[in-house]
Amino acid sequence: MTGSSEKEIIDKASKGDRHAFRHLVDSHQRFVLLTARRFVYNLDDAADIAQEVFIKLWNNLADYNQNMKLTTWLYRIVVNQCLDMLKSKPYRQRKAATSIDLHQETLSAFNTEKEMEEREFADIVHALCQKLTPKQQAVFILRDIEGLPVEEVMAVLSMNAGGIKSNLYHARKQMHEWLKLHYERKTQAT
Amino acid sequence: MKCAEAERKIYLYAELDSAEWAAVDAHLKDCLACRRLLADITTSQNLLRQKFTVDTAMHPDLTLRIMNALPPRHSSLIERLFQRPRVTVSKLAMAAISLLLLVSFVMEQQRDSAVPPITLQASLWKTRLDSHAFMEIIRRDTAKNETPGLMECLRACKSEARECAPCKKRFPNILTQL
Repeated sequence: MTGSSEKEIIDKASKGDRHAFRHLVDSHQRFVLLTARRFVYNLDDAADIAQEVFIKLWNNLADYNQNMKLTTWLYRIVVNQCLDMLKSKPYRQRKAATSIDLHQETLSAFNTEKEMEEREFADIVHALCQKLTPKQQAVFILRDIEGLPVEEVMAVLSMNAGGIKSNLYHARKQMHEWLKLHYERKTQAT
Repeated sequence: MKCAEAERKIYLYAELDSAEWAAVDAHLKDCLACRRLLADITTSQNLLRQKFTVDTAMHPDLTLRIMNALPPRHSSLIERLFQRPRVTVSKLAMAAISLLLLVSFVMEQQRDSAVPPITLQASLWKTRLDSHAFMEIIRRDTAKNETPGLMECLRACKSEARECAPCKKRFPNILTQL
């Protein structure tokens, strides 16, 4: 596949060429996995999502509109898959049962204080993200964490600019207030 | 602009258009509380971008797992219609033989049914009908006495296997039918 453009690889893969599709999986799985982990955090859950995302890509590649960037289309599939998982009852039950253990287990796995602080911060932000509505969460992660331009967020979520701004405002306001409260409590405790 | 109105725009500071920006900036010049809010939000956003990192470890064998989970590709109906048919010589020969057998069977059926007994019946019926007609004409002519000696003439024609002009005129093909 060396020397072939992404368009050529997509064309081949859409005609059932598994070798070409494997090339797409290799080149995009890291991006898909990391985006999924923004939503679900756990590596195994993110891997399940990545698998479903690539199966959907394989099944629907013939309908892919090449005017849209492949990453934008992948973002759309990943976000929908993540929101489906977050809304599913088994995931919510599992999450409620295991979150505390996971948190303690992961904290003990870090060596330096900086690493531990960063992981703690990530845990807090992730927990706060779960309090947002699915739309707010998706807009917030894509715009503020992934840093996508507003136009791309609109394309990924099929939402107009007004909807994006409204969800973004509520998400940022809540996140800012929660973080502020958290650090105030932490300061008082120390 | 009042603080309540400015607050929403401060949270969406990066998404404002130039006119909104100018209006918010004008408010910020005179409002310390809103300037602090903007500074706090900017700090939070930078912190999130820098520190909300996820573990970049990859799942082992994810590519293999994905490739193994891929279902077989189902081609669309149009693709299937235009696909090159995978026909072998033996399949073609079998189809030709079957077609030949079918055609010969149908032809045999049609040949048998081409000579139905009803045709014979119809032929007999026609002969009888003509005979009746012949007798009727004889009776009528005799009654009218129009053709005296016709029977004698006809018997003579029959015995000599000839057709005389009067008999032929009145009873065309009567000898062959009788």
